[in-house]
Amino acid sequence: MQGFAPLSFLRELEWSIIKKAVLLFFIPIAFLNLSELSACAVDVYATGGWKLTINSSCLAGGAGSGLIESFESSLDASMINITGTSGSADAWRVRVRKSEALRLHGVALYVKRTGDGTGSGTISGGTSYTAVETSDVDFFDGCGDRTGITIQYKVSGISINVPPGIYSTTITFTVVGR
Amino acid sequence: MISKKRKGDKYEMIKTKKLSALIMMMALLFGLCGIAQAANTANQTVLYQVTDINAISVSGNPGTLIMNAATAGALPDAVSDSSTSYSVTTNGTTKKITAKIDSAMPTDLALKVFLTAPNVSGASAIRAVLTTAEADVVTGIGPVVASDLTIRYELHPAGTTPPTPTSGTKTVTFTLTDQ
Repeated sequence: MQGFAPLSFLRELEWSIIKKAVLLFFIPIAFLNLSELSACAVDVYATGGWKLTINSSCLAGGAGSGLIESFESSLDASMINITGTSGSADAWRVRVRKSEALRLHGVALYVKRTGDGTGSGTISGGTSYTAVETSDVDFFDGCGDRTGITIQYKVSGISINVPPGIYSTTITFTVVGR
Repeated sequence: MISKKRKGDKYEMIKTKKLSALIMMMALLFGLCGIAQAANTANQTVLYQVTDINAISVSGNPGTLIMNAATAGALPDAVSDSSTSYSVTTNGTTKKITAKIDSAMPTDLALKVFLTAPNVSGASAIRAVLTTAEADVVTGIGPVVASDLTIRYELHPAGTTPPTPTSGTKTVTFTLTDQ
């Protein structure tokens, strides 16, 4: 009987530690996740894209010169819609990243917001070129639903040393709550 | 003692159930968020295609090559012109430049051309006698951007007797092509 007391005490202590861990760690995380669920409901849709062909006409000054420094897409190469917000006060942020492919050969990719789109909410930021990296970077902010937000792309760093071929990268736009 | 042990086991079972329930709840919460977040990203594709880029140009026309001097007892002196140049841009890895003229030279005259090779590993220049057939003048060209590379023309007597007085104009065509 005497032997049970310390064992029981240890079990109680163990259970107490688990409970505290749950209270101090998991429960706040659960609340955080629950609070994010409202932001998670905001959707982002993107249409369009960009295909760029680089040939001899892209030389800066004909034979004996290199390729022009950078290439820009049309102003509305892509169009983004932000929907599913709870109202014009529901703040969100669009972040952007790219897949690894374009890191080859020192090529850099940039995005720029060229239009505000329409909707009950507001939109700000992203109107100058943002370098797209392989991890998310902040692009622009807004509140409420916005549709028809136009996006322009720019590629730079393509040199004559880039071998002929087709290169692509996937741009991922992510909307998160603010 | 047995009773206490059973109570302890029951207590352990309850604790295990509680813990399992908590873990399941956490997993559900994380899972729900995961599902919701799956809809808040959108993808676009940016695609670029680099085609074969081969460009060559020349700076202009050389001066007239006039063969009018000789050492007694020898064939007339050859004359040359290095007043023109060429520029080249290519993203190819095994390219060459060929040259040809639009019509044949008189049999007693030889028109030769020598191009300075671009400063790229493996490139070499060949002094070629121009004919109406393509002749290699630079080989082993890799990706390069080069300008103002000298073109040297030479007019030589051909054969063992001095050339007959004559004049003519030739169009020289340089082509950047696969080796």
